[in-house]
Order: sequence, then structure tokens, then C-alpha cells
Amino acid sequence: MSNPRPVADREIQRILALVPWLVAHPGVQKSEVRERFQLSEAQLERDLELMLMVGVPPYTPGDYIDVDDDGDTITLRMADSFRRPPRLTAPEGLAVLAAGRALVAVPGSDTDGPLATALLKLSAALGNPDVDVSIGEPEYLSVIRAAVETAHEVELDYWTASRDVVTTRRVQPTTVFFAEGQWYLEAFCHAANDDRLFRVDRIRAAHTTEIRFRAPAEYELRDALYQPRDADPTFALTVDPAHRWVGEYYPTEAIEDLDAGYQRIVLRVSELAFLERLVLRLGAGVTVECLSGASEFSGAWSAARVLSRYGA
Amino acid sequence: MAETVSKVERILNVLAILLDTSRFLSRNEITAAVSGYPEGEAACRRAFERDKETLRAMGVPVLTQTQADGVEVGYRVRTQDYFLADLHLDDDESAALQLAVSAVALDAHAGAGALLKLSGASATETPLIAALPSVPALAVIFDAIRQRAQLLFEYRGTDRVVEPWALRSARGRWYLIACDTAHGERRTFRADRITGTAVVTNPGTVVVPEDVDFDAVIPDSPWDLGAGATFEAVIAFDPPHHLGAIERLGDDATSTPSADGRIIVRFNATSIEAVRSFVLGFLDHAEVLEPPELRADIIAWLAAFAAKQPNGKSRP
Repeated sequence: MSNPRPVADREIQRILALVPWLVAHPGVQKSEVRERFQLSEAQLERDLELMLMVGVPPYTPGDYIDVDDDGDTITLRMADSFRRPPRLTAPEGLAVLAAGRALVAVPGSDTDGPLATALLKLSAALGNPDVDVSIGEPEYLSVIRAAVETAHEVELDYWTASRDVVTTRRVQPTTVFFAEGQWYLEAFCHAANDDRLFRVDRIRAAHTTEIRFRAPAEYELRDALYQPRDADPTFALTVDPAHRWVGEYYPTEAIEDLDAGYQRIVLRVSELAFLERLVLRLGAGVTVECLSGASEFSGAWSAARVLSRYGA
Repeated sequence: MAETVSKVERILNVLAILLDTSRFLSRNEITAAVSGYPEGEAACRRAFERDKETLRAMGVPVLTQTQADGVEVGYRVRTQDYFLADLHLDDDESAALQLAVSAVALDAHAGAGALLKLSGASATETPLIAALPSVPALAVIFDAIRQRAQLLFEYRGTDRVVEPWALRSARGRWYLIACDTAHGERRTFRADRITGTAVVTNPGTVVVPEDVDFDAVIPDSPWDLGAGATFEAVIAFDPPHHLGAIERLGDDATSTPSADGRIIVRFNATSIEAVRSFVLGFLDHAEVLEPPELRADIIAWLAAFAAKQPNGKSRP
């Protein structure tokens, strides 16, 4: 669903949203239009020129969209066919409805506020499709979120599952976010002297200290838990048609279509165990080879290691 | 050529005339009125077909008038089908949707398109609060639910025809709750395991039951998603890996130490595939003891995988 549409289509959709908005806002400053619709000066001028060319039969001068442009402000007339924006497409309707439902599900959200009432209106306009998002609420989530908000350091008791140890550490909490079904805390950890990612449900105790810290001015907005680094090993997965979802699901370096619906997916992996889990679960529908960084890796050997537990 | 009419201009004018008309217009009427179509019957027809498809792909409901013999003779777009209803969002409500689209990652491009239409606003720079998995089939599922239509897709290698009822995101996955028409019973499908192209058909035919609590039918765990009989899975873990397993299994699992130092974890499940996937997540730190079918399944699964790998290097 993230396939980029051709430039021309995007241009058409932008204009179909832009025209009714301009009709509804006569005399609007061009600068405001550029900001709202994220247009460069040249793009806006081109769009306006294009609008002048749009009309309906019998195409007398009065049948074309009329753009009154004094250099700073714009007024649009005679755009009756486009007086309202088009309906939301399915991806658009889902994107905004699901995002709204997710945000309202975040613990502490105002369930009667503007977002909730906006969602009622939106859902009704979309025909009330039954769509909902649930987001868990681990015990210390609200404490952590409050500490992020006010930039206070927090002392955590944190359980590390792979070693079964609980350690106490003081951190500067920078971001809390929900991804892949879990709440995560991104924080600067004094003990590690580096940024660390914590699973909020594995926090066994959290105590907000009096110590303030200066929150970083700019976050690196992350859209995935794993952000590939150049030094990470690369692997090529050849998947059969039933496993093409792998390329959609994980961040990839490249995807190449092969014959008969097969795909070759190139990805970076920081932890070999992650790759082993992935390919062993996928099974015989996938073959894996290392392209760089871990030439000793062999899928067959990974399978053999697990099989040895079964005496096979 | 200064007189060249851009494709964008041509399509906008086609849409304008289709919206403006109060009757169906023939292809010839449209291509004669709108400038920018190529000379020659065949080229002109092809260009018009492409424009029509472009509009439909953008969600414009182009109506077709068809003769008894199936030949298309006219086209129009009714404004009531095309125009977005005014949602009467106040400024606070518009801002709230803008924040939601900006703070929740799902489909940034579609979200931005929706905001433009709803309020002429762009997404804002704001820290991400939640990321929902983006799955190819989602929009089609949503479209089918919205249209009360049936949905055709391939799932675990089988073609399905379902009446979709609800879409749920829980524990980081999207689930489709639907009636499987072949068996006439409710099923829950993982949206990310739908393969092939999902197709919407027979709009307006699906009646969503009102007495089903859809949240209650979302499985707590993938291993409850199977259609088969319930079995008890018995898995031996090297400590401390059992702790991660118990964390995932919750109260439904029991664990006891065994004489060889491993921890034996027992839980009920209905899906062999899901338990296999769960156990393989622990690599060589877990071994299935029971049931024998699951043990045999894992061994055959891994052997089949190993046999497919290129030049199976031997390692110590």
C-alpha cells in the first residue's frame, strides 16, 4: 500500500484537493497555501496556470476556472465541478481512521475530546466500517511518559530476559513509542553511556528523580525498530510467491522480481539470531545466502543446530 | 510544442465534463470536447481508456452506461458519488486528525492525502507515538468492509471467499474477522498472511452480525488461531529462555523444572503452524516434547529448509 503513485496522479489529486479549498478561502495568502499544501513557489504557480485551462462545455470564457491572482493573494471562481474535494479513497480513509483510533487508544487520551468527536464524524462519513486498534498499557507506561514530558531522569529496574537479570539504572527518557505490539522507551542510559531501547513491559520498577535533563532539540524520528547500519551484514533471501510479504514487512535494501513470482530480497541484519529465527520460521519457501559481513553463515547449519536437539 | 496539452490538464478536463453533465456522454462526445486527445480513432480510444482507468484508480466513481450486448456507450460521474461529504469538523477536530496522522505511522502518503481533502492541512513534524504495521491487503479489506462487500483472497495456499465483518489491530498485528462462506462460520485471519491480490465483490450483500464481540474473538496468541482440535504442547527450554516464553504465554502456561536442568512448559493450542513458529523463535534453546505430530512436523520442516539451502556448508 506504500507504492508511490506516478507524479501525474499525485499532481491531479493535489489539484482536486487544492481547488475546493481555494474556492472556500477567497483572498487567501499564497504563502499560506504553499505552507498548507507543501508547495514550492514554482509548483503553486504551475498549478494555478493549469487551473485556468480547466473548464466545461461550451467552453466560453466564463466556463473556465477563474483565478484572480494579485501576486500575494488568490481568489478562485467558476470552479463549480470541483467545489468539493473528492471522497477519501480506501487507503486514505483507513490511514486517517486507524491513526485516530490508535491515538485515542493511547492511555491517557481524552476519549471525549476533539479527536474522539472527529472520529465519530469521519467514521459515519466512511459508512461506519468496524475498525479498531488496541494498544496495551504496561504498568509503568504513564510514569515513563510523564518523565519524558517533563524531562526528568528516571531510575529503572529492568529485566533482561535473555540473561534473566534485573538491573537498576538511571536513564534520561527521550521517547516512548508503540511498535510491533510493544511499548518501547528510548533513553540515554548512564551505565552504558549510550542510547538504549527498553521494553516498557519489562520495567519492574520506575522512580522519577528530581534530576532534570536537557531534551535533545531534534529527535531522530524513527519509523522502525531496527534501523539498518552500513556495517551490518547483508543477506539475500530468495522467497517463493507465498512469502513475498517478507519484503513488505521488513526494511529492505532492495527487492528484485524473479521468474514465476519469486523475489530476491536484500536486507541488513544486525543480529544473526534475528535472521536465523526469520528464515527457520519461513521454512523451505526461502533460501538465504550472505552477501557481505558474515560469510560463515549457512542456513543449513542453523537448521542442523536446531535439529540436533531432536537427535536428528 | 507549445500547444501540447499535458496529461494532467486533459484528465482534469475529462473529470470536469463528467461531473458537469446531467446525462451519460459517449466517448466521442468527450474526446471531441476535451482538448489533448491524439488524432486517429485507435490512439484516441486508448488514451481515453487510460484516462478513465487513472480516474478510477484514484477512487473517482466513473459510471458506465452499457448496452444489452455489453458495449459501453456512455460515462458520467455523479457529484453525490464524487464529492466528499462535509464532515463539519471544527478547528480542534481538524487539528486532532492532523496530529493523529502525524504521530501514528501507517501509510504516510495516504494519510497526507486524506488530510488535504478533509481540511487542506499537511502532516506536522511531531514525535512518533505509535507505528502500526502496514500490510498490503489492508486497504482492500477496509474497502470491502466499508462497502459491505465480499472479499476474495488467498490464505495459506487456499482461495477464500469471505464476508468481512471487522478489522482489528492488536498486539502489533492486523486481524480480519469474517465469515468464511465455504464453511459458513466465523474465522479470524491474519491480514499479513493474505497473499495474492484480494478482490472486492458483491457490494452491499454482507450483513454484519450485531451480537458478536469482535474484540473477544481476537486470539490472545497466534497459537489459538488454528481451526483444528485443541492439543497440549509440551516444550523443554534451556533456562533462562523459558522466561521469555512464559512472558508471551501468560497465565495459560505452566512450567516445571525437569531432572536434566531444563524447564518444561505446557500450554494449550489449536494451531500446529503457530506453535512451530513460536518454538523456532527460540532456535536451539527449545525442544518440542509433545505432541508427536508437532515434533515430527518441526523435524520435517527444518530438514526441508536445510535441503533447499545453497551449498550447505558444513560447520563444526
